[in-house]
Amino acid sequence: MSRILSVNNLTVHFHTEAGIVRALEDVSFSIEEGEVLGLVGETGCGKSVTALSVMGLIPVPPGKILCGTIEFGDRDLLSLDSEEMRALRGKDLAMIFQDPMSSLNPVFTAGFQVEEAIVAHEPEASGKSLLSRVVGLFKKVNISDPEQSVQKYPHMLSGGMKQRVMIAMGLSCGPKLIIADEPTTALDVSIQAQILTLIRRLQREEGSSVLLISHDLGVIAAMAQRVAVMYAGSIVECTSVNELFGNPRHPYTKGLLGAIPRLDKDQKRLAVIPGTLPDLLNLPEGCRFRERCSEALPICSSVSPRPRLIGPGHEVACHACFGN
Amino acid sequence: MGRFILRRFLMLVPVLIGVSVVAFLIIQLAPGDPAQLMAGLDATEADVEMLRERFGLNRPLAVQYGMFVRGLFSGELMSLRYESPVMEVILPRLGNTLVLALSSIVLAVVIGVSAGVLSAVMRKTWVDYAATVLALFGISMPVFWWGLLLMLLFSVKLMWLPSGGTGTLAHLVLPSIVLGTASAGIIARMTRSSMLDVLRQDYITTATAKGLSARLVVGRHALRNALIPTVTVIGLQFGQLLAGAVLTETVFSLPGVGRLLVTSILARDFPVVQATLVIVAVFFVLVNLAVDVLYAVLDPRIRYHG
Amino acid sequence: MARGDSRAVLVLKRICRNPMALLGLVIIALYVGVAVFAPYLAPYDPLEQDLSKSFAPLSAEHPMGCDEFGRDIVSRVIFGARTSLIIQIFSVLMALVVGVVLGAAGGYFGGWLDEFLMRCMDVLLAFPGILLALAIVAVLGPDLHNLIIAIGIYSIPQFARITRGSVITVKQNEYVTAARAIGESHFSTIVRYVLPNAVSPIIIQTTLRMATVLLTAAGLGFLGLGVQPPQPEWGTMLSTARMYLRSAPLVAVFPGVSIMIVVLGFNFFGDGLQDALNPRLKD
Repeated sequence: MSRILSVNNLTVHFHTEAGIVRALEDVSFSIEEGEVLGLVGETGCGKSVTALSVMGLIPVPPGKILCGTIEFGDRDLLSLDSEEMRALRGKDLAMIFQDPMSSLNPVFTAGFQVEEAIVAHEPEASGKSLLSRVVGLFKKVNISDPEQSVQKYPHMLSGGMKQRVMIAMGLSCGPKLIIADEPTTALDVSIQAQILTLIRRLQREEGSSVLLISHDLGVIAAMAQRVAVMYAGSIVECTSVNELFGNPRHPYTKGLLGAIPRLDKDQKRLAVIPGTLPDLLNLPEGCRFRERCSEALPICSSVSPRPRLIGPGHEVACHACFGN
Repeated sequence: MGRFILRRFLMLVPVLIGVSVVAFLIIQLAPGDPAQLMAGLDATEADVEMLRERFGLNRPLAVQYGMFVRGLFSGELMSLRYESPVMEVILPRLGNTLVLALSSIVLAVVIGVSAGVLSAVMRKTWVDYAATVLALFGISMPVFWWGLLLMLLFSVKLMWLPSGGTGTLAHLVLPSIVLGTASAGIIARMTRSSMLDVLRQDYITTATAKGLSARLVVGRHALRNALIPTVTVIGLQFGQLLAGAVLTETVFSLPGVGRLLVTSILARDFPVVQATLVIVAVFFVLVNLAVDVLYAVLDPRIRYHG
Repeated sequence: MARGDSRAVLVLKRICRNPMALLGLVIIALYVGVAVFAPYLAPYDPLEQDLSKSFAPLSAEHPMGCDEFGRDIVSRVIFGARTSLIIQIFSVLMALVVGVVLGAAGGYFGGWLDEFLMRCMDVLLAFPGILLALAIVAVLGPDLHNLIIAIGIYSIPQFARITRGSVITVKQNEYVTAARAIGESHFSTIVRYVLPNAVSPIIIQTTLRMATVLLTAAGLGFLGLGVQPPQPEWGTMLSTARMYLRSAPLVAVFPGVSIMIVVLGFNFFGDGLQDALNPRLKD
């Protein structure tokens, strides 16, 4: 199995009026061919910034990529020019966004918007063959009455249908990597399961890799083989799903898992991680989780922990885990 | 779509009626006697009496109104100055004004939209600041002064363009520029602000993410949406141009409906004044209807549910 | 209520950070100053004629030269500011009072009253631009009072519309329902709860209207249907200047520049006010 994506030491800052927001700090992870990697963390921890960085969609002022490489296949995405990057987007690299209600252009039909995705990479495609391709894609993502739906405007479609259109758009050119940023968060619970099942089925059929971003551990558990946990702009733990749920090592991961309400245990109060997220404008020295951590050591206040192997395929960025 | 147009049109009927009533009643506002007003200060009592008869000013208001509306269309309502039906006096001049207004709006749209898009795409650069300042200057410039300045420069000093009259394309150049300047400024600002709003939307990120070139993202996805509110402004501007034409036509001595209104007022030719008001207002209202329809064409959400 | 600055102070701070808005404010202040202190500032009597100085060129005694009757243009421009300001203040005040009352009534009570009022406004708005003012002045006769009335009437619909829109939005807030629930009368509710929160768009419109009114008054003056000579008014001065354009072009410059600068000032400030009152994130 070859490696599809390898993000190494990615550091991204944003220069705003209020100061410098250190959104991503030394982020590294990789995805194998055909694998689903889950990226989990709270709102604001940098998951979306990571996704946008891979896609090359970070606006460069005010954003700034300080260092790092993003290896896709055998190229470093950060070294490509805008035309090369454009050729990859929508073709080898596809993204599905969080809010289907606002992600489709209201003045063009659903079918047209998917056609565009194809024509952007295959300029000769047109006419009936293009249309039937789009209808085929709609069928594949289980959009009811595909021939009619192609001519519908987004405001005529339900949230779930719109998200399916987005998925069809993403799949249209057979991408090697699909980045799904909270694909079900904005949908009704009943639709969520359908969309997730769809994504999993398509992923297996096409053999694409998926970077699945979510704040919902349940979604990650259902869909991913491996998972990376992010906190305040850094990856704190990365391992297989089973290992993460069975043997979490990082104090934050343990806190997250402990906070999930359970029906099979008698809980008087929900467990909570004390404190709040650090202000990304004003990050403390050393480990970003230190102020909320029950296992903090003196070294945690001065040195930022780097990810280290703690078991086969299991990395943790934590001083306390290694007993330093 | 047809139903949409019909519905909108029906809502206009009361306004159109209201317009004719206002135009009719304006004369009655005069302090003193409308007939006296029309006759002028040095008319004899016989003249005034004749006018009173002619316009039925002794009859009840409702009857007078009926006479007014009927006379408008039948040709019975005559200009005091030209001794011919008001429509014959007004319509040819309306044509001239429309030509002027049309060429002005085309100029204004081309310059305004381009400047607005450029400003939005290059926001916070010198291009943006320069365009904003220029737009504000354009809006603040008194039309008649701008006309005088351009006339002074291009007609008097340089003698490149004629200073008045109609006939050739050259005669249209200065008046169109003068009339179109303020509109260009307003359209530019509206387009810029609309584009900025649109460029922030999620569907623009989607368009870029699926591999469309920057040109397509801005020129197709962004512009289509940004134009929707701009179109309303363009329509309103067209109406304003009909009014601004009054000043421009006076400066450049163009035989249009604006100048007709002014000269008729000065000559106390009130039938023409009233009829002009009605016709211009009706026209303006119809232009706004056309803009509404265009809005529906551009925005499918309005078309199906508006 | 947040700690720190009150809303008014926040708005003022934002204005101060905007160079264009500040420039506009300075221009407006200068304009008002000149208008108010005209008799002390003007070197000559604006009505005093001296035919021997007809079209005198620019000089130290007459920095803007003289017009066709030998009257000093500087003095006429200064007093012209006064005339313009008077027209602006009274006509905008009139339109504001009538428009806000009508708009608030329509927006607050809704129903057939609203429909009727809005149809009336539509009729007024159906007359593009200055045509309505032109017609009213035509009938009433061109002089200062009638000019103010005509321009006031033509400005009413915009104030009514904006007030109505604002009132409708504010009315949906719960504190309005709460006020009624504790027994406030309609009038009291409108005055104490609705209007204070609906005020921003009205303020912006007032500022921008001052600019429009000045242009309209000058336009009517230019057409000979506004302020009548010999009273100095910038538009009227330009209409006579037009007759002498070829022989004495300079006479047209100063009144026109004055109009433009003052209108620019109001537009700059109105723009800045709009940004300050509704801070849409510009990036």
